[in-house]
Amino acid sequence: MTATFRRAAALAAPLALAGCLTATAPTDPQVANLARALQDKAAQFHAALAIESAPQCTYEQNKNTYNDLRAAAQAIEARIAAGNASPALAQAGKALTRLVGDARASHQAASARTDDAHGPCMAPGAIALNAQAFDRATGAIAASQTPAGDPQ
Amino acid sequence: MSLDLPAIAAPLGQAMLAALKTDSARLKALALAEGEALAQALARIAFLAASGAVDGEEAKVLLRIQRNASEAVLASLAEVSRVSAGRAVVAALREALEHALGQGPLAPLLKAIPA
Repeated sequence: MTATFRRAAALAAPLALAGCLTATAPTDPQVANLARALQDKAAQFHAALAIESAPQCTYEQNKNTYNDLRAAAQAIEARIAAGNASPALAQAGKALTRLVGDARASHQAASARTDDAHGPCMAPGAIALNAQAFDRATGAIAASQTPAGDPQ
Repeated sequence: MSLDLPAIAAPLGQAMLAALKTDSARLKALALAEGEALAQALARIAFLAASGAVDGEEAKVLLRIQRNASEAVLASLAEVSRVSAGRAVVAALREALEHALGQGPLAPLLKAIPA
């Protein structure tokens, strides 16, 4: 009986520890707030971009917004680095910053090419894809830093 | 260009799951959902490239954006390690190459994805 109990305890201990760690994994509401702010800003930007025409739709007319989005992503990265976050979450922050850089690059490429139906504007389908990518990435980071039970 | 999205989404999600090596039901559900989101995005990029709405360079960047988004999503999950998140996304993209997307305009871009 004692040996059985010991075996059971040996099996259960790591599981209990993992459960405990998961339940008490630290969250940083400030990271969640920053991620939601970037999520909102990106959504507003892409919604507006989708109905713009030339020249307002061009990269040149919107590069300041990409600067703002990059600054917001870097602020998330910095906040994650300053806290007690996991290396995986830090990786998520880096991926988000790369996403902003690539979104800028996609807009630059679209504006440089004017021999298609959309001229210097991005194709609506490409705008929607970028909007969705921002939403997924920022939403996941925000959710990871929202304490369980928080309606946000 | 018509793609059987459910037929692509399921293998992508399964490829992510296999790379994550998890027994967590919650993680399985999230990985399958992200696999579906990635599959939808790849199908749209393939459509945009095939229709000429984006050129090869833009398609390449759009693909990178989706890769970054999926990596951010998976790395945000508490049970997933930094290395596993990256591997899972690459596994899903390689799975896409094995399916219908491998025959379309994304094939050279998918083939160029570093491990």
